[in-house]
Amino acid sequence: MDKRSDEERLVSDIENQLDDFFGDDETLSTEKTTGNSPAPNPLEQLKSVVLSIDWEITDDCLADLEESVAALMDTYRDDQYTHAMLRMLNSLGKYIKKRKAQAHPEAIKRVMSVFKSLEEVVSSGKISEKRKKSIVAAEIRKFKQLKQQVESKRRGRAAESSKTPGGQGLGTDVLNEIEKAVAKATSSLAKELEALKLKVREIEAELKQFQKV
Amino acid sequence: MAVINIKKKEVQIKIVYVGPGRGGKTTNLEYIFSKIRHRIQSDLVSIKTHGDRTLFFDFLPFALGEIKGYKIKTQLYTVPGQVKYNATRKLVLKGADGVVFVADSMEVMRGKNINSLKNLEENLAFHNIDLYSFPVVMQYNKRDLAASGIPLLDIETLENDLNSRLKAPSFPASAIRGDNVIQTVKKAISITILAVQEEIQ
Repeated sequence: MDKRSDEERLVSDIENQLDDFFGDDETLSTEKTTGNSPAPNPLEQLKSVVLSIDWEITDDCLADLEESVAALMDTYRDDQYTHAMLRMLNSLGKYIKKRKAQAHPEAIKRVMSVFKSLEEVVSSGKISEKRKKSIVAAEIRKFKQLKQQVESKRRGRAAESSKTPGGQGLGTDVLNEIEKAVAKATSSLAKELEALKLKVREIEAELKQFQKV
Repeated sequence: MAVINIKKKEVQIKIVYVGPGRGGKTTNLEYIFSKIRHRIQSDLVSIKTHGDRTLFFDFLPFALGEIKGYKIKTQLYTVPGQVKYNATRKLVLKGADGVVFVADSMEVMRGKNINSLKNLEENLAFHNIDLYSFPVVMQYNKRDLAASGIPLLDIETLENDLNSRLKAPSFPASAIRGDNVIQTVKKAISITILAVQEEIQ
């Protein structure tokens, strides 16, 4: 028996065993592919963009986000809840695009969370108005919290930069420190001057003595 | 490296599903599990983050039956696809006998597929395995998204990007609908057993 026919028999054994184990899934697969296609999901494009951002944040992804959100805002202009969430996504996208690596780390999490809620509101046909309202309200509340965090961080940075010498204005405590340092330097210089004067006087006296001799 | 027990006449093979994050690796395993759960005693073990992403790995062990008098035990694993979990990927790939590369067919994922394959090559090299002489099956997943109007890469582009050098058996698939999921795993098991058998000889 040659090696080739041995291998062929082994392949056949394996395939038979696999067919027995998994059953004939071909039919199932064909049935599924030829079945009715699911209704197009209006959020699919946005979903693929959001998933891309989840993976890696690039200018291209953020531009795609802006574009997808803009298209959906037009579609959902009469749906206040969906429109509110799209506006949030739009603001978050613009903020991340502007601040890049300096963007608040929570901002990306917000994008994911708002999208998840958006998906729930749009894709769940039977969701009640009350539930929609509560989902959107929760997202708005978290969005506002993030806005406050970003604002306080910005204020903190501004205050920090005003304390540095290169900043636009100097704080009172900084001025006090400078005054103290100048006073200390002046007093030290005055002492040195006195000592020098004394030395000069001594030299003059010695010179007079020498002239007399 | 397959675990072979000559006394018990048992061969244990390990196949790892790899590919970019959110590509459908776990969905593949979930579909396989749904098809065979009535005939196996084990469970699909998944360790996920709160966001439903695979944190460590998914694990599905099952006994396939006897081939040439040997009981074949198969272990299917997935690895987390996200870039930051490379240490986990390396660890899960240790001792692998074959891989299924689950590529994401979405146009926006083109670069991620290529990077993920490169990462697989590096991680296998770390275990002294050459990707190009290793049992690999390519799966081009998410073909169903075309019906939703999502731009997809055509099969030719995917083949050129990922399989021109590898020349691995490949399947267009939709893990979420189960299209070609079983065909993929069958092919992966089949070529892995053949490779293991060659190794034994």
